[in-house]
Amino acid sequence: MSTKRHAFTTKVSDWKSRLSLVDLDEATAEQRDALSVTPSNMKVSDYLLTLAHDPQTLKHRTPLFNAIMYEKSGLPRAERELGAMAASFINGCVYCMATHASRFIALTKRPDVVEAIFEQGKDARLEERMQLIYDFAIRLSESPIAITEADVVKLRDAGFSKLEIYDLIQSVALFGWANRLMHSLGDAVVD
Amino acid sequence: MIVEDADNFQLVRSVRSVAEEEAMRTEAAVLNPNEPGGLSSAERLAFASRIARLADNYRLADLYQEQLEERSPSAELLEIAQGFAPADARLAVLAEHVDLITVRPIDAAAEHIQILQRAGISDADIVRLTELVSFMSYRVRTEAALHFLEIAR
Repeated sequence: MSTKRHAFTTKVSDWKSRLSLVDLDEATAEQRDALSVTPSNMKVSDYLLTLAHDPQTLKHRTPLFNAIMYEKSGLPRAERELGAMAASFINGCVYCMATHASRFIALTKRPDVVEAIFEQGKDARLEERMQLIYDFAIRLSESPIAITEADVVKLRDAGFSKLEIYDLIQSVALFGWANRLMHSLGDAVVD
Repeated sequence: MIVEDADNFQLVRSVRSVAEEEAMRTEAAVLNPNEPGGLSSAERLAFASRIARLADNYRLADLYQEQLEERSPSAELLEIAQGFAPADARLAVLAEHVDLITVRPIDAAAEHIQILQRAGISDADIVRLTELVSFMSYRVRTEAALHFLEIAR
């Protein structure tokens, strides 16, 4: 794996689309509707204006994303972000990594964890609970059939509830999706 | 929110019903959209079956192939579903991109978008195709891993 080619950083300022953007002035009612569901409405990002080419998918993707990353109980929010980081590492999404590493640091005040991931990649050595989450997320990101019953049992033995493991599977799989969109449709603008 | 039994798989799914329902709606949006654009539902089902096969998920591969067969598809679309390289130039370009984003997303670069554009694929269809592939990558992961979560103690 060429980690040099994808130098990860928390300092990413923007994302530049490789495609034309939907022009808000000429957007259809369906496109406007899909865009208005988004969480921050101050300015519509180029990413969303790219995805608005397929408004029916965007309309359901946004609430799905929010449900998986922000719904209460279950796996703590920071640990869902850790799963997102593992996926973003495997899939090479520099923009996703920067966004979710920054959120992880804001939630945990643990920049050392992010540094370990940037420096050691999929072999990053983390403390026990984070290690279990990270290794599971790396495996699921590398291959859709890597996870077996033994991987689930390992987390169960460590005290994870089924709800927590459910949230981990969903957040890692969700980033398999988000990484493929962001990394293939545009470029991260690094500061 | 208090979850009464966070180890009861069916209860866990009902607690997370928003995600479950929106995932189903997204599947409909990528496979049978109201506005298919330049990618027919038959083509979408062929690619979905191909992606599931690349993921060794034969249950989903067969499911999408059955749905494809209900639409009287061309022999070429059935070959795409089976993982073969199509002879048709447009379908070949699309299938190559599907394989790249499914298996080696890290290698996706600007040149791959240019290949699609030069083959006459519109920007809107590139987004539609990428959403289909990306959603399917999510679908095969949740499908496989949640099965083991259900049966594990």
